[in-house]
Amino acid sequence: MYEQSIYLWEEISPEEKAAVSKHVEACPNCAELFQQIQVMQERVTEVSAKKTIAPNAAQLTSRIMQAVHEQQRSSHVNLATRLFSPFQLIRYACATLSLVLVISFGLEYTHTGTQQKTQITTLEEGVILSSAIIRSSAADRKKRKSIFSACKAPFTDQLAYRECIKQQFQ
Amino acid sequence: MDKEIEFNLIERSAKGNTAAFRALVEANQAFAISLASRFVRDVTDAEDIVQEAFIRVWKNLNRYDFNFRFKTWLGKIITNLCLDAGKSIKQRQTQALDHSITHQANENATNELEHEELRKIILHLAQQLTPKQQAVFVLRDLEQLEPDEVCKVLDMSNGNMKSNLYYARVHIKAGLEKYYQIKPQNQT
Repeated sequence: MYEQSIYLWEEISPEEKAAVSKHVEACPNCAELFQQIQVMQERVTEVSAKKTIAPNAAQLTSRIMQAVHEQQRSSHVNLATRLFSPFQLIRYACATLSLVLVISFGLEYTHTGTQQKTQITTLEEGVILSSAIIRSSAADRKKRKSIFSACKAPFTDQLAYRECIKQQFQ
Repeated sequence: MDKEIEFNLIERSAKGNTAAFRALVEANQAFAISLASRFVRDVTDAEDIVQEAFIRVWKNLNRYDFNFRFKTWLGKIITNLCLDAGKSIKQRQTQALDHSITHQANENATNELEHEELRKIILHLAQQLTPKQQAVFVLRDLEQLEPDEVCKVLDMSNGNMKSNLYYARVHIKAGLEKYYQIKPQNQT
């Protein structure tokens, strides 16, 4: 029951450790196993302390960096190959053609738009002119009316009325 | 290495700065070689794995998760590479190692040689474990990583890690008893 905990002594919780310790004190077999595991772990720790060192650490670093540089170069070449592959060039040509077409249509549209704008300006001017004419004729009518009304009131004689009108217009 | 300096080096390396990457390699190379050689034993094989691991790191730096320690990430890559490469290398090395152990044990050598022998025996026994057990044993007992770090490196739950570690230690203990005639233990 406690065997696994004895093997995993360093990994178990403090509560589990307390329970295992209590059992080990009372069980000679588990106490012996515990002792053996501790000895084994000490030996393993001794082995773990001895790290393998690369005989030519600097040479290994150079090898790694050389491989990295090659990787970097090949990724640049791959990028260039991808960018300038025949398929990609066809795509660029199509894109350029599309762009040219779009620009051409744009220019055409702008040109037509200017013409329409000119017509619109002329129409505006026409409206302004018409309204000016209307305004001037209205003023003219008002003036004429006042002349007629001014001459009509004091005179009943037709001849005198005509003379008055003539004088007013002059 | 200081965490901030390490993050700075990783960021610069991710932008294509090879000088920064070189510093990163130099700072972690010893750990990388030590870890790889726990799995594959032969230094040349270990160096090849370390080189491949650093190239993978270089390629994937833009995907680096800053929640992980760099060593944990590197350890993960190396462990996976070692386990992938393990079968072919293991078969080749097991024969050479068996001969080596027998030869040295018969010599009844000095402490240094005994220590080297013990190291070889433990690594030899570790190679007989399943890949998961071997990885857990190497990372936890030989590289002395913390349990939660082992779980991160191997994408393993704590329970799974403990279970693998238990079976690994049982196997190592049995193997050591065989070599050193440690008295077998009755267990409760």
